[in-house]
Amino acid sequence: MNLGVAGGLFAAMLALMALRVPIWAAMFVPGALGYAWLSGPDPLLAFLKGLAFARFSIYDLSVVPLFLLMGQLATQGGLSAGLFRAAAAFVGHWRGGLAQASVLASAAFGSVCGSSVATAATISQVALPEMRRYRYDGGFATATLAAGGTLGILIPPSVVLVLYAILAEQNIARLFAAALIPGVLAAALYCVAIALFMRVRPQLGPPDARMPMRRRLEVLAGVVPVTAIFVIVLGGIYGGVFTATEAAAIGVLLTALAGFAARQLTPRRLGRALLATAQTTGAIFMIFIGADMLNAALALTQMPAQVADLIAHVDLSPVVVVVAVLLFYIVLGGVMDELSMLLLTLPVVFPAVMQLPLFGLGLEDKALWFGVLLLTVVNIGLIAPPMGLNVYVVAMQARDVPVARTYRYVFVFLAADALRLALLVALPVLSLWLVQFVR
Amino acid sequence: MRRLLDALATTLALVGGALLVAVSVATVVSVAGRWVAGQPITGDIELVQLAVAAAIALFLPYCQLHRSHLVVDFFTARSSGPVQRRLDAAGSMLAGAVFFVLAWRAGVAVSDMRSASETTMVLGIPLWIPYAAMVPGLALAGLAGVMQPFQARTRAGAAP
Repeated sequence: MNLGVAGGLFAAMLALMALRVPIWAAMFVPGALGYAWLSGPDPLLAFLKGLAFARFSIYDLSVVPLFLLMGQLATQGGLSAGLFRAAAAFVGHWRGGLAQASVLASAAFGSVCGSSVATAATISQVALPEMRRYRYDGGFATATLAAGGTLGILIPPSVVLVLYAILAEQNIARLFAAALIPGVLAAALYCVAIALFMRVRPQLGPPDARMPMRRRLEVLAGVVPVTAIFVIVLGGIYGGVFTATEAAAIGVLLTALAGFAARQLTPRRLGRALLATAQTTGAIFMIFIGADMLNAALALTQMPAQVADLIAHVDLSPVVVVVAVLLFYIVLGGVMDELSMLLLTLPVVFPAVMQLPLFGLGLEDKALWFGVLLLTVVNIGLIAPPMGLNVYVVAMQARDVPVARTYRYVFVFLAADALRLALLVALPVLSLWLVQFVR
Repeated sequence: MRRLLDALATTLALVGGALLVAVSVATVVSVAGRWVAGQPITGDIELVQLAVAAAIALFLPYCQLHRSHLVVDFFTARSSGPVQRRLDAAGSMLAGAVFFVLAWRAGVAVSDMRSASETTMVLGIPLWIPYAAMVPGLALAGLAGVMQPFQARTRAGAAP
């Protein structure tokens, strides 16, 4: 009976989503109706009184708007242009080199920005015109930028990891440490994938002129601000000098200072950064509210406990179970956004996975490793068809390139992602080695 | 009406943004105080919580007005423009209705907190104040949602 209610709630949610109801409301409305159905209207009204404030005022989540603001200040402060120019100076003369430079610039930008959408948008602004000028194929350029943008969340700081840290009750500094080597690996594999693909289709990414070494060193000055911010902010988090929220606050001020010093950040652009932060922050926190409501209703059915029991006691080898869970997420991510997906499923999936014996890992190691795997799944969902959010973000800046043409070349990067996911599953040490140095 | 709503939403969002900047400055001062004088700002964590919560609520009308909330358009990508617009209008009105309910319940919470005179743990700030800070943002977001069908403007969303 209650399982039927749970199924009905999911079906209603998916139906509303299909009808273009904003995702948060598509979760909220069935959740509220289900809650009232199972426990009566008065408990629902009492629950709603505290819902918004309770969710908005969680200290560990305060870091999310601050990191988003930091990323927007870096965008409006023109920090991305210096990164791309420096990367292009070193590798631009290779075939596909400007694409690799975009990946490297995205990785560097991702080290001060926790959002993949912001990274994809800002690097596109500087890299897309350059690639088009050198007659790069439009679809190949946009696919590169969409994939490169995911480095915004793959390389700490990462909004997705902040959420995971809260859902899984893990230390954010250690999670950021766990994600660093896999993030660098992602950037390296993207560059390798581009180089290999250029052997098959050399005409898609013509080379730029080679730059003399002295000129290269001059351009390198453009990476100084971002490097300094990264060292102070992430170094401070890793070294346990300050909490993630404190680090984000320091990052906000440093990034603003760097923007003002470069005479890029004007009051007008500061306003733009604030409004863009408002948009992403509002969108993320309403998804929280929607997922909270639906989760509260689902918890009243017995469904979460039963599914968790099922996963924990399925008669398969534990690693196969983990791989099956990841594949399930990749498929589900095709029709849902990744954030809601994790918020709705992790309360069930996480405890179940923690019960599995995996490579003899301790509980914390297992949680950190699984977090890095989920991050990779989210990254795949952001570029994979049919609903690759990053692909659409880049498409807005390259209106002459049809989305289908971008998807044609995205597979190059998906292949690199699949290889990385396999490596990360098979070798937990890639995620866990760095963690030992954090406090 | 449309213009007034837009101006009001933008103002609230900028105030929210300014709150975030203020939170950053206060946090940095607190960290510096801890290092230099061994004495952080009392209740700094509480201040961050309250200010950030208020900022998020203030962001919501702008967010709603500029269609920043994520929508799945996979299933309707092939339907015609008018069909999509009608569905979007219905979706916005539904979202607006939910915002109104949330604003109403937060308003009820304000009077509850006032009669119970609950305060925060460290600073003893009356709890009805931060609850009251939720109400304008939620209510205006509700208004923006139900007004959406009467304006033609599209903006793409944003997410993690």
